[in-house]
Amino acid sequence: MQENHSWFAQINPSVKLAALLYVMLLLISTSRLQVTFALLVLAAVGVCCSGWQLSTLFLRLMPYSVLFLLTFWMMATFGKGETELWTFGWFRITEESLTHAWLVATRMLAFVLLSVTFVATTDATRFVMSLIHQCRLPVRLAYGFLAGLRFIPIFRQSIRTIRQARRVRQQRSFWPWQTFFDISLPLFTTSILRSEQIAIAMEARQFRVNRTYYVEPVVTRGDLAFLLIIVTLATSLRLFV
Amino acid sequence: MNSWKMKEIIVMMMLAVACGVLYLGWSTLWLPISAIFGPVGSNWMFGIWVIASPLVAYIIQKPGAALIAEVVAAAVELFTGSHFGLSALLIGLAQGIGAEVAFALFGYRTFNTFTLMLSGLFAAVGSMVYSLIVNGFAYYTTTTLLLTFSLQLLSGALLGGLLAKVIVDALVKTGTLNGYAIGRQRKQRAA
Repeated sequence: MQENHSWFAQINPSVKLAALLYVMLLLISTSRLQVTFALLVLAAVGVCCSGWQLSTLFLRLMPYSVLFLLTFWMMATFGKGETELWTFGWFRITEESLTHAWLVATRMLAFVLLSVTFVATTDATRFVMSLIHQCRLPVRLAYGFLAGLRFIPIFRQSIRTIRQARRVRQQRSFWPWQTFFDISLPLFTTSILRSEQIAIAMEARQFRVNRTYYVEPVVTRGDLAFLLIIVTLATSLRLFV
Repeated sequence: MNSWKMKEIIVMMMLAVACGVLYLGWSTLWLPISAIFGPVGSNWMFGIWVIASPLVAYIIQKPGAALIAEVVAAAVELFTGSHFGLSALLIGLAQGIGAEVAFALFGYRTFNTFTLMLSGLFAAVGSMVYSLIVNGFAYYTTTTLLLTFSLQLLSGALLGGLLAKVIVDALVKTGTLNGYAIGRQRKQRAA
């Protein structure tokens, strides 16, 4: 997650999250394709406002078309229905399952677009800070989480190293969960040792719940206006389309 | 939250984040399998995605650990900028609540193989409720649906609960967990 210079990035992250989650709830609440499609268009407008150039956007969203097809395929071939259109092996496509496939795949795509809008315009630290101030997330949890976040690339690297070490020694397990065990055990051991060091370091530097903040995120009038616009727009799309 | 020690909070967060990173790898394994074999053929893999709850709850043994761990592990997907970001957060919440209920039923006193497997099972139930409502699982054929669900339940209990138990027991042997509830429990039993 990284911030850019778009107008979306200026909005308070908690408010933005609330607005997007509201649209998601509306998407969940409807089973009509037209409404889902209208909300998808709204999400698409959101993505276009997220400050990316259209070419970058196109490249970033290409993989999701595969995902769209996959979701569509799963529902179309394994869904229930009467009017049979096409069968092959254990795949069976019916008229009803096709309709449901459109619905579920469109909903999934709308979720993806909403997620992309949020992820592309929000800075991780600012988001957590805003959670502390606007959503009363306990401070110790928030800072613990921030510490954990910094370790994502480190964890990824160590998983890569462990897998390479296994390959060099020609260790192969037949069952996937054995592989999971073999990779996770050293990963967890080092992360437990590290977390102990982090906790001691934080306490040694007088980390306390009562603290002052260099920047305190606030909810401005613009944020509230944004929330109001999105909520009215999405609700009216849900009700009147 | 006040009864938590700082190192307990950090270890919970770090393990949950590590689980989240492992989930990402597991997802890439799952995608091709699910396309070919459908929801039935791929759902035996489901259990790994709920492992964070029983794993962390077994180590910390405090109320809330299971829920927070699963939500944090799901949040890793959001924070790495993944396409499932927000929906992963919602499904993580559903799974976390399920897993938490299993420990709450026993008053957060019993943490053994049974409660851990139950927590994996309940996490699977939570995930199913979510899938039924959101991912349109209700539209699958009844056979597909029943097979998928029983497979998820089984997988949640085995790959989620039981595997978590095996992993934590192995971790205890390394001695890194001596300062936590699970390590202290072992020491008392030995003495």
